[in-house]
Amino acid sequence: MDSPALEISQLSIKFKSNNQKEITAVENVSLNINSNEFVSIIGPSGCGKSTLLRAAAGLERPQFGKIRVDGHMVTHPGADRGMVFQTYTLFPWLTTYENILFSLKKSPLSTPEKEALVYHYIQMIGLEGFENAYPNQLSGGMRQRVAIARALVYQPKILLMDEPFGALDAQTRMSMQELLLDVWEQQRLAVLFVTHDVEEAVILSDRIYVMSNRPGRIKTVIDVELPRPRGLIDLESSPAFLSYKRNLLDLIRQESNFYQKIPLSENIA
Amino acid sequence: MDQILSVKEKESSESASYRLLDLRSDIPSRIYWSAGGLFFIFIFILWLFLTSLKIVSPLFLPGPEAVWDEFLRQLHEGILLQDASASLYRIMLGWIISTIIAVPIGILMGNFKLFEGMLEPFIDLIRYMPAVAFVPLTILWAGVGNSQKILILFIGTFFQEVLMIMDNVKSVPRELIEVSSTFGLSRFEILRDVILRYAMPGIWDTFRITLGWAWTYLVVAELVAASSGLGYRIMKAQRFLQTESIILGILMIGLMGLITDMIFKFTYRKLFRWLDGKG
Repeated sequence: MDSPALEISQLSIKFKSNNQKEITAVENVSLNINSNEFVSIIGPSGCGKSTLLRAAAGLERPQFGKIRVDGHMVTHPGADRGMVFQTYTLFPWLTTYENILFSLKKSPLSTPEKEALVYHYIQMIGLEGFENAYPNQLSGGMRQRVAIARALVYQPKILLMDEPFGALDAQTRMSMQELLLDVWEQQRLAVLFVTHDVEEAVILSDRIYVMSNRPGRIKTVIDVELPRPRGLIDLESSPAFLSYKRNLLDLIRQESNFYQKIPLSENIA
Repeated sequence: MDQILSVKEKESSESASYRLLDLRSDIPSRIYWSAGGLFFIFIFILWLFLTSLKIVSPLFLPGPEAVWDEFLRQLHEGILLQDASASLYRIMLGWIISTIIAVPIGILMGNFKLFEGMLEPFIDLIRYMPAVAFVPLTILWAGVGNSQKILILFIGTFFQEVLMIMDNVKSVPRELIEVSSTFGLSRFEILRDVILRYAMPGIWDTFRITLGWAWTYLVVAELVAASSGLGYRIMKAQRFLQTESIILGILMIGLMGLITDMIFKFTYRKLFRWLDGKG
């Protein structure tokens, strides 16, 4: 049998805060993502969900536990994982085309193959005509689309997304969710998606992990059994969608109440 | 009557499209540049007025015509060109040596905490020492020739420049470095293809600013045992109370500094067109 795209077992991550106090960001988290699954992590802010994602990317070192991508241990960042950040991370001196091409630097493909691939992805994200635009000429949504293309073009085993639409307005956010679903239908790969938006998690995911407050643990796992391909308008008014949403909101609210009971000094978001 | 009214309305609507003293607002570039030009003319007329009416003695402030005559005399005798080129040579050499050393060290300090921790306290200590205080030491170390002048210019420039380049390098957002590492790039590749590319416009601006500082250290550098240079000419003129020669020297330094500044500003716009989204 194939090994899962991402396998996290008994992961714990601790930080030293400014006053040398030890903070446990992630505690004993285990999860598996299969090669064509879309999985989200939601939780209150500061619960360590981004830390978990960054550890999967190889950007944080866990104190305990193992992370495997496609069966290989993760020790540092690598091209078997693609990452999309919340902040804009396009290179401002490169055009749309050049930005996407940049991530193929380590690819063994020939130049014409790379060019064809880049154009394929520009088409996929609907930015034909903006190949030669610089990032500061693009809107926020367009920049994140380029960032997604840039993370997919080198064919990673898993796409890691850290609240990628968090900085966008509601309208753009919706069209980005549609675009992501569309892209994912075309290139089925494992996705680990971190968000604090319950609706977003239900719309996109096959499975949702709900994290508890700090120290972040997996509180509940919810399988989202909504048919695919999903259309946003129909989906958001369906009873099944609403019951998932209500269920998740309840779980999150419990965590938020718990959060307020912690003395303010330990409340480091 | 109606016609007059409409003309007036038109005028007022045109002038309403911008107001000169709105906070932070743009004004037509024509007005922007004329304001700068007019201010120069104003200062010049004030100068002419104070001197030609003998309100100020020519010993303290000679008139523009006296400075102009001095300019023609020095140009004719070849002193001016000789002084200017001697000074330019020292400035460029001092600044280039400083830059060649400051760029790699600044890059190391900006990227690796080890180098920052090791070097920053030391550099902070030295950069508050006035360059003029180093004149006696530099004479002991480097004699009275050109190398002593270049050493002073180096001391005046280097310690500031290193710290500024460190800050330029640090301005690269962490996420840009992290995302590059997810493409499988090595640390060296990230340094070369991402950090330096991002920091380059800032570093170029640091070049422009530090070269400007080098010009301000010129007189200090040519204070002792010089036989040519704009700074030397100023110091010598003081001894003989040739105020017009002092003013000419100061104007020349200002003018040459301005020219080097403009060269850097111009190349900045040519080199980093992506900053305003043009290829």
